[in-house]
Amino acid sequence: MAKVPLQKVRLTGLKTHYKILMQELHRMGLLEIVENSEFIENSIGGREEHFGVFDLARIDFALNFLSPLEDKKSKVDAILAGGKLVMKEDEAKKKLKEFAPKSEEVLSQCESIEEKMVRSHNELRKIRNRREILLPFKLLKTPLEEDFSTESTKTWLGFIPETKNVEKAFMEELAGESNLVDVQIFGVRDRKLFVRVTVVNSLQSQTVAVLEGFKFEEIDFSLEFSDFYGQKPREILHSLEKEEKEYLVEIEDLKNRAKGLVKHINDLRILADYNSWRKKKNDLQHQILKTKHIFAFEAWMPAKEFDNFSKWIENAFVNEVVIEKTNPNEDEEIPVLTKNTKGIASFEPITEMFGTPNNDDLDPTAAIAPFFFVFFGLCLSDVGYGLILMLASLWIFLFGKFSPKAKEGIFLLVLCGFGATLGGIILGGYFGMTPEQAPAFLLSSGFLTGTADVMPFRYQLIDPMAGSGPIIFLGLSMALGVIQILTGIVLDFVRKLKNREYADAIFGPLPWLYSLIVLICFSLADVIGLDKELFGKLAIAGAIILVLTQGRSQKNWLLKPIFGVLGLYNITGYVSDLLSYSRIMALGLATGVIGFAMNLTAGILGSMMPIKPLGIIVAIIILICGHGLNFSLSLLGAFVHSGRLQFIEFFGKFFEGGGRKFRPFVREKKYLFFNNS
Amino acid sequence: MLTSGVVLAIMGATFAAVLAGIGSSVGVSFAGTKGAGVLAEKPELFGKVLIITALPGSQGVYGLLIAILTLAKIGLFTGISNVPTEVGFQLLWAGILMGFAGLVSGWMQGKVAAGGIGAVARDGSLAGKAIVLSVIIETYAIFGLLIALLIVNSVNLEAVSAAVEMVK
Repeated sequence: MAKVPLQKVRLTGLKTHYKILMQELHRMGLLEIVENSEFIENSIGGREEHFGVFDLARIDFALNFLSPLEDKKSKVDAILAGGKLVMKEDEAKKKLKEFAPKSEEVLSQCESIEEKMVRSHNELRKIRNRREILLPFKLLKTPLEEDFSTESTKTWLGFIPETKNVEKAFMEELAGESNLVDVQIFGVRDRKLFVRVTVVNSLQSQTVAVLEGFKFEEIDFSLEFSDFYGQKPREILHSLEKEEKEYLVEIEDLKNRAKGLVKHINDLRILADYNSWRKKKNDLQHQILKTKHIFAFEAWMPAKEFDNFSKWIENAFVNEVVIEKTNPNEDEEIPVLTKNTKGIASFEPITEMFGTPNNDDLDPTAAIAPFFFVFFGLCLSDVGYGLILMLASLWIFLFGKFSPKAKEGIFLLVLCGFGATLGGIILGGYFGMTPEQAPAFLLSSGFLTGTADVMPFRYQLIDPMAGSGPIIFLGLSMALGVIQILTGIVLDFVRKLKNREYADAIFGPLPWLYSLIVLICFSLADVIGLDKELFGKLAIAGAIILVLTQGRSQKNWLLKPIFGVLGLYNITGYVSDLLSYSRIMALGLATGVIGFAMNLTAGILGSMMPIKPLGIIVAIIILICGHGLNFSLSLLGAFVHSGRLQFIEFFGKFFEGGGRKFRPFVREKKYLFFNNS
Repeated sequence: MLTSGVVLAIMGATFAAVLAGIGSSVGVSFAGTKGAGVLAEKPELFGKVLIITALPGSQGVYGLLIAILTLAKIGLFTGISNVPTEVGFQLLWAGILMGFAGLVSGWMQGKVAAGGIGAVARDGSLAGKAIVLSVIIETYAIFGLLIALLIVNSVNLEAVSAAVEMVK
């Protein structure tokens, strides 16, 4: 339960120190600077609105433009670096200094190249469209315009949608009108039949009606190709082709120029991060009071850092910057910072997935850590999958270059993999193998010698697929559920005590805790040898206490007992919560059975192949794909369902979330990773 | 020996695999269509969208699980055992139960997942919450799976044939 107490402070100082102080604060990342409306109203000028936004947008644009052209690093390096640029801080500063004068040049070049490229691509598309239109009329022996109507005839060039037998029908219908109609068919493209129809003027209106019947669409070449006046289609096509080639060459040329700029991409990345820090510092101006000579602002910081920090301020600025403690405003929401010991801190991302603890909440991370570990382990429950997960994430954890925070998150996967390995040992899951398929060193000696009633695998405790195994597994899941639900109620009690809601603490969770424990003892009395009658009486007493206590929030004395009785109905909520834990057993079985199915399929299909080596290859491919699929699905299922049990069944008892996370003023690195050691 | 008990059991396995598979396919298609639309705008969300899209896929896997367990139970892979008609019906019901639980929950989960993808499109940090909402529906497929598992697992054909021998 580790919420770090925070202290609100106020810093006031001479404006001359402002810049250097901000720089240091930014580097330390210790303070969250907060808005104070009073300050802003009294502040005087000196604010540059939207500073740096435009610059950042330009840099991002250049990076997006250049990064597809970059030579890709090897996959392994990319995974380990988390996609970031690893360097020392001094080195970054040096490179930035060298690059800064050139940056404007590089940025504007990127922009102009991109602009030209877009233009060339547009032109290219236009040319290709025109060729597409013209291509069917390639065989036309005359310039396009000449074919159009004469004094006594009318000519249309165009197309009709192609359907079955449309050509024949079209010819018949038009030629049926009169032999004064000439139809030339050019061929089919894109389900369009291109035609030229010439008729004498007297037949014009009839022909139009027929053409409309065929959904004829005229192409007006005089407009489309006015720039090629008097040329034959073949000639036009030829010059279009030449133009197309020119544009292709130009695009290739532009691409090469862009490739020449790729060598600056890492400099641009450094520039992007440094500029975003500058912008962030500048954005803060809105929250800081500035008068002619002094500045002042308020911030939150971890309370136990206060002494060291104020000493540092004192030494560095010798009374020209002062720090003092202040109290939060009445309606101010206090930010929440959590800190957990190593290992447990790895489970913080799961809490974060649900929400940040609010001011009344406990930090639930330490409470969910053991449950999540066990649930995940039993859900995935395969030694093979667990080891793969554990070793792969351990490799990234050890050799990857990530921030400590990100490393904690990766360590969660290491722990989960370890849990799944343990789960697999307990439940006998080894890539879904049956004892007969498994190598002998995995099997227990008792099983090998044929002793009855021993678990087939070494150190296996439950055989979920045989005899009463499933019921034992189900019982185990439910038992874990009981433990978690009771823990949740206890935490609710603790939370209420901590918030000084003593009456609620005693009359809310405690009667339920008592009643549930008694009820469980009552229902298991025969199994574990308790006095059933006694616990029956105790349970009735529990019910009476609940009726007396659960209506306490009602003002009306008559309503109190009624709501008390209704409160008893909550028992169904606890029952359904408990049933929900059966998913642990279902998912645990699913991993093994699907793995078993994959092995089976590989075996059957492998043995069906005509020659043995082919069979082995087929079997191996099926095994790799099948287990890959099962691994990823089971991993996803184990993760989300273990999470869900925390969020809904567990948090429902004592945790609200929705707090405001402490976000210190810190240098966030999008592209860089400093290894200063 | 292909008795009516065996045929009923195979029917059960088919129901489980097919119905749950339909539920998952429909569910994934809801989420996937929405996801593809979102990716056109924000390709960087691929990982999150993929996970939410895959969620309604689990019902099909549960159906497959019950189907394979059923087939393994009657010894389809190792040599078919003597399955009395009553036991065949038992396995058939398990399959139908799993099939319908998977069909409806997969289908509906797809709708919630699609909605969740919409939320993630606006704010990538909502992915965790979108996943939790979608997983709530899966509970009912898991309950179906649980009961079906218990039914299928309760079948002990060796004991049955021993009992038949005794009566004879």
